[in-house]
Amino acid sequence: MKGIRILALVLAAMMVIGLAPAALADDEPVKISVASYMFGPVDNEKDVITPLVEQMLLEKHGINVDIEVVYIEQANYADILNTRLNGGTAPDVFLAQSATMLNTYYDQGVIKTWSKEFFQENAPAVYEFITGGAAYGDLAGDVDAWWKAAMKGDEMIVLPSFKPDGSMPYKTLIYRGDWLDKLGVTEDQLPKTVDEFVALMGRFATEDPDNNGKDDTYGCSITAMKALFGAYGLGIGFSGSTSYWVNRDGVLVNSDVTPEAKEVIGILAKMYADKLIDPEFVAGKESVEGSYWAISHGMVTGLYGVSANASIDHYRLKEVLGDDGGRCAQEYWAVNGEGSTFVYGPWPAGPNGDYGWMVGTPVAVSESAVYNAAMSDEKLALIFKILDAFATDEELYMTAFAGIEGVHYEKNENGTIKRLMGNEDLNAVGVWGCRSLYGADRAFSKLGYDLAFYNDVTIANRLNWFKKDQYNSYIQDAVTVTLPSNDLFAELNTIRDEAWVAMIRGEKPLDEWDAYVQTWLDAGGQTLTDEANAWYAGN
Amino acid sequence: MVKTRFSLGKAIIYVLLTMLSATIVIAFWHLLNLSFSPSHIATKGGLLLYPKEATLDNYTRVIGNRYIWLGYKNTLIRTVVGTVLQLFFTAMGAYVLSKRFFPHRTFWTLFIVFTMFFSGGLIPTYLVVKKLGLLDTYASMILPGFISAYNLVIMRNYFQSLPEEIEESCLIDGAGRFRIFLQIILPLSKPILATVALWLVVGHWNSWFDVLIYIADDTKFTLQIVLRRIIITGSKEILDTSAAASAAEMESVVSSEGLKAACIYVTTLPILCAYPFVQKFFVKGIMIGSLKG
Repeated sequence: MKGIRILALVLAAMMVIGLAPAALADDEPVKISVASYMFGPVDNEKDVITPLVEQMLLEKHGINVDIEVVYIEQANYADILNTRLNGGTAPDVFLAQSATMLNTYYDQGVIKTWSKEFFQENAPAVYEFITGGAAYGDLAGDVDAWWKAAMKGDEMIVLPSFKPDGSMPYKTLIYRGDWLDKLGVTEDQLPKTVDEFVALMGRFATEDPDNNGKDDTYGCSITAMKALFGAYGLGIGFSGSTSYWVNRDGVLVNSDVTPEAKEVIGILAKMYADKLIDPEFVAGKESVEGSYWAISHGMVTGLYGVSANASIDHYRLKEVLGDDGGRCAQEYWAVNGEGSTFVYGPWPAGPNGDYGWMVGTPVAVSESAVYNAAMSDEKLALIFKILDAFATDEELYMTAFAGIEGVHYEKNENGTIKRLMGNEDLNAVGVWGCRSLYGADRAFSKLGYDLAFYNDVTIANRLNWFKKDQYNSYIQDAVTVTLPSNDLFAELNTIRDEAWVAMIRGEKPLDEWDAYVQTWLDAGGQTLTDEANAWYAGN
Repeated sequence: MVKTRFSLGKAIIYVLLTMLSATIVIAFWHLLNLSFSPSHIATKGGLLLYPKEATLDNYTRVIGNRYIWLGYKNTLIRTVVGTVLQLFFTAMGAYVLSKRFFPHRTFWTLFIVFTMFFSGGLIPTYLVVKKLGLLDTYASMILPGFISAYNLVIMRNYFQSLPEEIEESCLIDGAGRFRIFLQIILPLSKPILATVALWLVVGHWNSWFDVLIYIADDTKFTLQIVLRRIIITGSKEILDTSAAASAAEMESVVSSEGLKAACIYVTTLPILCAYPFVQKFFVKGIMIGSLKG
């Protein structure tokens, strides 16, 4: 017994000596100022979390730091930070906020750069987590994209966030269940190609799916029309918004002026002529001014059978997601009756097998930490050690992320947490203050991801649903920054919308496509294309 | 007996003015009702013309917020100190420039007016404030905009309108320039002083950007910063789902509409109350200051 005690003492002593590097633990604490994403300042009188985090870092990891949480109002973050960067009073760790800001900081030399090896050496657990494709290897296919976003040339400049929900499509094809039943179309038989889609639209328009004996139905309106562009690999913002850029053999082209877009307009023109499309698709009943934007009134009220105006969260189905409801689903049930059904549809694929809707990427820098160029390499190494400590020490992470159990949060049965205070109050006691020290928005660890994505079955179900073939999507914007002449898009989008509407309605022949492209290029499209390619070349 | 004649023009003016004031009064009235409403009524939206259920919860929460009181203290300090000092020094500058015998008067006036059109910009100003060691001090809220060229010109014009003879007789009686300024000119200039003081008070009370830029110490945040935060936080949490990406994170409470309304009342009421008392000077001061230039 005594022997065991002595052994334990020796082991404990060895751990203290081995784990706590003397240079870090004995000296004065290293001051680290960090400006995280916060809703309000840390109230020094109430702050219990920051001292606790410092204590844990010291006692468990031998890292002796004095963390100063700096509050910078989110609404004016860039302005305030720029002044402080210029005045030399910016915090050690701050947020990049957007890819554009990140590039600006990098170009101005105000953020620190470091090598991949340096990162691996000082934050080995995080390095492994990233290269392993995040939790459960879910993002294994996006690891290269993460490194691409993290680096400039041979150097790393940022730790991008890595979110499994980042590439979920913003919109989902929602079909009217009663119409499909009437036509005898089961979920498995929903259109998976453009031809099948057009055929079903034809049946919606001609086979009286609403059973009222009148010829008063159409296939779809503008939002579902836009899904056809995805079948040609394009992300189109037709009707107001800006389209994505596509990479054609190393040259960036805007989707609006691609030959594929012309092909889709041809298909849509034929559908219009055959009366498959709501004739008022331009100012029609997809979104009605004054009511909730995602509600497709035409689809809900039975004018057409499918729309892509809402996300899956607006139409939640219990059998798919684990819970039901959503703002649009409520409206749908209110109009069509309690038992009325709707069905999620796959994206129709085009001749090359492409399909989908515009999506983001799992890799984002908008909430990512960057490091002040004024700091020493030693300090950055220390910050990476802290990053690693958060990724490996669950107690430490839970304290910084959620606070003290029973006081600031409770554990739910499903493994998620319920916060017991409002965000501003949580910030006041120090919760989230260290956010930028443990990762972009959550720790780079299984626990961080479990809490955010996998423990909540409804979120996990959603992620799984979007892994299904043709329900997923991969149409991403080839340009990830805001181009200098971005404002030109306002006019270009008008030019595009007018030309396309005229061609679909048959008011202008499709042969005028080249003239439209020329007008588009002359009105600023060429400038933007040059800027996009210049940006691409410099990356 | 004086007959009041019905005039169509007058009627239209009254109707228009009533409608105009209604647009302002209704908003305030709605906000007042909102501030006394519990959250389940406040979040429903729509116009509230009377409180459907009354509660003091929102005010209790606002008053219980430490930052509101700190904000009040800081705002009062900057408003009182700032207004008094700025008013005094602006008046001194304006007085000097109003004297015709002041050498190179036009040059100095233009020199000051020039700053109305060109400023140093945000970052150079920040650098100056930093180099002077004023970051995180009350002085950083007062000194950078200490003398407003606009106020100075308005005051100068007012002083010019005062008869020279009064000063001459004072000089004969043996008064110095400074005594004349303090005991004769300032008391005669109450309307313009009240007008400029009102501008300064409102300016200090409402300003937030300088605090945002120069102040990092949250115990020195002014009322408007606290108010902004409560309002922005309240709406941002609802709009920006990326801030609280998962459903679990989004369960946390947001500041309710009622709370925001109570906050707006608590922070703007003092300035609203002060306004009518200064208003009588207001029209007089600005008219004389601007027309007799």
